[in-house]
Amino acid sequence: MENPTLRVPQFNSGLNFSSVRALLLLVGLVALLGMIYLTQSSQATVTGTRARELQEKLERLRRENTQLEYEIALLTAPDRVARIATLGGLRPATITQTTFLVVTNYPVVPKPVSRNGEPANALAASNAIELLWNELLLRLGLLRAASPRTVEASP
Amino acid sequence: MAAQNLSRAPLRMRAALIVILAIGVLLGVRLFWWQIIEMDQLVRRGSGQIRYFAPIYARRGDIVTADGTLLATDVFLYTVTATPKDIRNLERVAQELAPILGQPRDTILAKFKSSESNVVLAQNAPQWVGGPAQDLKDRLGLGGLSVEGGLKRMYPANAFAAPVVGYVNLMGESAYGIERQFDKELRGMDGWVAGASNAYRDIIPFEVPSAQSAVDGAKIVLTLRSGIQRIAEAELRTAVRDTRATGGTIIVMDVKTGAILALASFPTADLNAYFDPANKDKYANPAISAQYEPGSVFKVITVACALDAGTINANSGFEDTGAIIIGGRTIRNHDDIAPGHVSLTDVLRMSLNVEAAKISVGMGAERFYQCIRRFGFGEPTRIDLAAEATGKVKSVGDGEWREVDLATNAFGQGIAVTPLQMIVAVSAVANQGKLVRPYIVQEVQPANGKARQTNSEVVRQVVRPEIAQTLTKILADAIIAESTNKAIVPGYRIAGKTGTAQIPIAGMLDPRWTIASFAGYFPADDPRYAVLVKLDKPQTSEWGSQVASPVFASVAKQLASLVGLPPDAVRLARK
Repeated sequence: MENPTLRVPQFNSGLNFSSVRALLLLVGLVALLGMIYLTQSSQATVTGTRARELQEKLERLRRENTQLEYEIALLTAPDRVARIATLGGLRPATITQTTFLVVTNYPVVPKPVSRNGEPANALAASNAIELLWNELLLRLGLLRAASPRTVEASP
Repeated sequence: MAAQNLSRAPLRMRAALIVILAIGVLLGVRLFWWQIIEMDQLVRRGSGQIRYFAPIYARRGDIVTADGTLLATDVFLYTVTATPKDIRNLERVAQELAPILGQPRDTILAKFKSSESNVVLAQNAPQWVGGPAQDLKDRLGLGGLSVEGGLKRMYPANAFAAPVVGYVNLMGESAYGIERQFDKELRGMDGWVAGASNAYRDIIPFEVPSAQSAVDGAKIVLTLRSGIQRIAEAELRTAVRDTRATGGTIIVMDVKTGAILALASFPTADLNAYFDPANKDKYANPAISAQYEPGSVFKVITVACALDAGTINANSGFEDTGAIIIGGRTIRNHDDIAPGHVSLTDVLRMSLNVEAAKISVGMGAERFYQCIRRFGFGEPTRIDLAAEATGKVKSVGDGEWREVDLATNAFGQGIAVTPLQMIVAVSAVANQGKLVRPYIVQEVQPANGKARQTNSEVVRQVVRPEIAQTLTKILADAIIAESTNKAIVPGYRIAGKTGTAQIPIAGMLDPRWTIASFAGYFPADDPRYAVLVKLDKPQTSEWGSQVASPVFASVAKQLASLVGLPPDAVRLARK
């Protein structure tokens, strides 16, 4: 008699450990991508909101600045200033009320002089730096060149 | 089999089937229509409901003087209105609005309870009113409160330099002056912002909104100095009032560069009130657009031409008998004076028409007209302002010219010039014979570009430098020769000439009215400033020497003081 063999039914699900792992990996990847997308999208929304708020704030400040500049202009309008000055008893100085002092050989560039015992060459060095700085400012248009020769005094 | 069944089906069923099929076809056609034919439009409409697109308006550029006085600017202003029936808790809203609008709560409440369906709570309100009002509307969800904002062109200095500046109306259309001439530069370019929105057009922060920033208009820096402009305007107002003139013009120019330091015209009006019908004709700039006969001021040009042509010289003597007949017409001096033997200085001092006529006739028409055209008469000066007139100079053979014109033109009659042309020509004499192009815009500063500066431009050499110097000396001597000359400025040597011109009307000269003027410059040894004063139809005196000369002197005195120009004695001692 034939030895009956216990036949264990074989199921071939088509899934083995590595394919399950791959599937899980895929799901995980999709989930990760989804999360990244959601995070990015949320970040974009937050940034968008913040950008809009900042833009609005900037715009408001710009408008306020313009308004303030306008109000300054209203307050400093030449006719208004002249009117207030006249009401306050001020009047423009005439040329006859101006005393012009003639200073012969008025120096265009101050010469280094010895002061309080300081050596003249030390002063000269500091003046040279100051002169260089002023020259730079002048070139950049940040400093107005003073008339080197006219000295005015009003009595 | 099915066909057999259908054919055997009752008539009603077949009819129903046909109807269903027909409806199906119709629906299919309709679907095709909306989905295919009208697709683009529907997509547009759809996205229009979920997309937000708003323009960002560019600010129109500012106009400022050389020393920074703001003459024109764009300000964002709000109008706050309410529809009370759409506001639930009126008391609370009034309470919250009161500190924002700076109005008592009861006043706002009274407005809410008025019979009007729509009430204006604030107009032309600044940002610090409009902004919080908008916040309140958003916070309380007030559909019945409206906060509308927009840019408005404002002129903080009101009528100051009004004809130079011009204006922009509510429609954004520019008129006159810099506003008109530099409209393109001042306008800038609008931007936009786009993003997702709900059906109420509120932005949903679903994405970073895309935007194109607006590019604001360029800032225009004028050559006008506000101190000098104020002096000119104040003096002109006073002169017009005192002489009961109908109007006038004062121009102050830097003779070496051509920069216009002041340009005042009267009458003028507040630029913020351009819509007032009473101000309709007060914004034109007569300094560049009104043509007039300059009268004896023109003798400066006649003498300059003759000296340059060599037909006379500084030492020439003249025998004036008081009248001369040219082209069949008798030319006479003012007041019919006949001074006899006179020098060239006397000719200018006494303003002798007869000698001026002899001088131009001595030159000959061709040379005379060539020369005065060299001085820029009969053509625009090319100043950077809108609506400049060219003036009118007749020429031989043009059909209008007659022989007598050669004589009358010599003393400024029968020729039309603008005040600007006159001061530019006189400045050429002051500037060693170099004619410069006048300019009033010092710099154009674009919001996102490189600033463009105006450079001084010598148009041509109109007379030789030595001739210009000689004439300056003669003009200065002519003023000093009369101690009562009202143009004299103590401490300064002035060169200049008065003018009293009759006004042409319908083929003749008006016997009643004149245009009185004075054109001069100083200091005579090294001219820097030229001033032209012109008064229209003065009533206290018809003479330029009586009404225009003192105005020149007053402007020159204040100008010297303002710019710190030392008197000649001080200045020359230093050299």
